[in-house]
Amino acid sequence: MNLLLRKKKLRFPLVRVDDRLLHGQVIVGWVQALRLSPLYVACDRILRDPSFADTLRNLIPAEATGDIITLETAAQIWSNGELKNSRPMIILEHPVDALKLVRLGAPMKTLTLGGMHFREDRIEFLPYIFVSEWDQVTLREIRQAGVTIFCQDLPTTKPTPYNG
Amino acid sequence: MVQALIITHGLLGAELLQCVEALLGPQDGVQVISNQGQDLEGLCKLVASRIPAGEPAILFVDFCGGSPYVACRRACDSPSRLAIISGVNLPMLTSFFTKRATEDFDELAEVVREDGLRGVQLIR
Repeated sequence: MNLLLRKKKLRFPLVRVDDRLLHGQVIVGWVQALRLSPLYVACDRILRDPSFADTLRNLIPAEATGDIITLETAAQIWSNGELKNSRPMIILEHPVDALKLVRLGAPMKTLTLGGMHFREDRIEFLPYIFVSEWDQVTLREIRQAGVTIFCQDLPTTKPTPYNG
Repeated sequence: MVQALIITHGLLGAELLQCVEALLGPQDGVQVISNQGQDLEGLCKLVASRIPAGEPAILFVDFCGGSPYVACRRACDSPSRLAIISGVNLPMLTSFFTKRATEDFDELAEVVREDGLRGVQLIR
């Protein structure tokens, strides 16, 4: 059996901020390597573009279930216990979506920053994590709600606490 | 002439093109895009901006499911003159560059895909 599967103590659902949404690291590196399922992308923006949402929906690997859902739906299924007894992962596009999820009542304890790429207004925290002032304010607010935040791009990478 | 865009993770696309040119000499009408350092929105915009206006093009991506693939799906609004082929490899690209002058667009896309598949063999 996969070494990662045995030794990792994971807190489910895994909640990951990644501005590439579903891509190689998520699908191969996390979902297939750790046999995660269901895989949700909680993103109101993507759902406003149904054909793009379909493109992403088709990327959910055959061995996992999942969907592209609203933040509200994500908060709902999480709070009412539908994610128990599985190995779920929830992908969020930006930190602000994580904050919205918390405000919608999702019982979030940990949040992983998996990919926040360079933009004009962002400074580097790690090679795969760039944060703007706005991101920092948002992340601080999430932490104040009792969520532990760390950065980790792949399961094989040591998590780096985010305290910025 | 049918244009080529090679959109991949890291330096894969640039290296593939270099290998193609080592075999066939310098090629026109080809661009390489890397997803390095790009969020999805940025990559979508980049790919859309590099698709040649009004000309047929094949978009080669490294694997079905990566951000290059997603960005190409998003950018492809004219299926009659654009095609995406995933799983880009060297036989696929040499096929493209040697056949693009003689095949029409739809056939070219098919033939190039077939040649790419033919390059994958199990020997034991």
